[in-house]
Amino acid sequence: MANSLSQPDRLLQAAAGLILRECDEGVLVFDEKTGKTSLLNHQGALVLRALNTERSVAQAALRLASGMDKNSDDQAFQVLISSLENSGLVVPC
Amino acid sequence: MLSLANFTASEIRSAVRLGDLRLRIGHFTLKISSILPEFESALRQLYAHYPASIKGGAYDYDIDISPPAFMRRWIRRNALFHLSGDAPFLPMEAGHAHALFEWGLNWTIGSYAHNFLILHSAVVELNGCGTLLAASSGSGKSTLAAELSLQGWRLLSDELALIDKDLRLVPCARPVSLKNQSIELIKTRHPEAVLGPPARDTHKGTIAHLPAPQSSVARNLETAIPRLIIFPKWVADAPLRLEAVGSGQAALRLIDQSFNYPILGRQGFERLADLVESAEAWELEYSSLDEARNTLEQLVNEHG
Repeated sequence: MANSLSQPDRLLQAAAGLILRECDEGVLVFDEKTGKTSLLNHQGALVLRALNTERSVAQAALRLASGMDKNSDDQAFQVLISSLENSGLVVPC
Repeated sequence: MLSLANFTASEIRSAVRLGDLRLRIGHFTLKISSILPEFESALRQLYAHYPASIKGGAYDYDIDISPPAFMRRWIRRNALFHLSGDAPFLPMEAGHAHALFEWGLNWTIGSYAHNFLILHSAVVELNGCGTLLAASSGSGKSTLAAELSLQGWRLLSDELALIDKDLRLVPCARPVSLKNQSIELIKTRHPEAVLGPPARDTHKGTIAHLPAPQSSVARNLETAIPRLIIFPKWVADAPLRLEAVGSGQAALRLIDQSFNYPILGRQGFERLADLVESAEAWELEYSSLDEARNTLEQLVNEHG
């Protein structure tokens, strides 16, 4: 668990001005800065919500919520974070 | 308020020429002026049952359909759409003036009525179940809306879904724009239906307008609650297919069909999110209007 914790230890935060609304497929996200609307699946929604909390809580929440205790899941997590970064919904800090 | 049909042709012609005609279409009051007799004649036919005044008064939009500059009148008889004196479109043949009016009015509402979230969608209602038929041009949306309106559904709009801050569908029932084969199809199925004059060889082919049912015009201030969002698609010889659409996907598809979503910002997002949360979304592929109507009526009974 300790090893897998270190891997996604990236300093990230949810972009400012995001408005989230639950929907059937996960969450609709509206970025007030750009006016862009995105649709995230449930896992992406969990990550985005977790990143909105205090950072230590966020790390734990990410792990627990997404069950990221296996290497394969860890890879999936990285892909997910990258896609969120690319969408502009998550930014490095 | 009297309806347009209460006035004589001569009174209307005079009011249209002098800019004194006011026509109330749902929540919008239009000042309409023109010197084209074919436009004034089509207006009388297509808007006979709409509240109207021939004595001027307040209005929301000032629309003029008249020939362009003096010299061009002698080269070819054209019509130009003016909104408050500005001409956003190229001229069209004078015989297309009524089609130009409909397109121009869609553009006007889509460009200026930002108190509503405006989606490119027909809107109909049955038994209190407001139903959006959201689709791009060529999907059969107008034909389906025409068929439903001739089968007892209330028509709220052929082209624009107006969604207010209380998430109500605001009616703006106007003539349904039928294109090409749809004209004959509706005429064959409903010989009693009287269509307006055809506008031939437009950029969309031949256009003819089916007047909104009088009962729908009479309820043009009565909002409806959105219960169903249908993404219809007519496909020749295809078997009927009905598939649920998730609310997130429905939202993204409606954004693609929106006139003013980017302008409304957060307010538009929240209104759209509320809409897809409260109304069920379905994709409907069909080749038979009867099957499509039966399916929609079943949905209304089950989910409305």
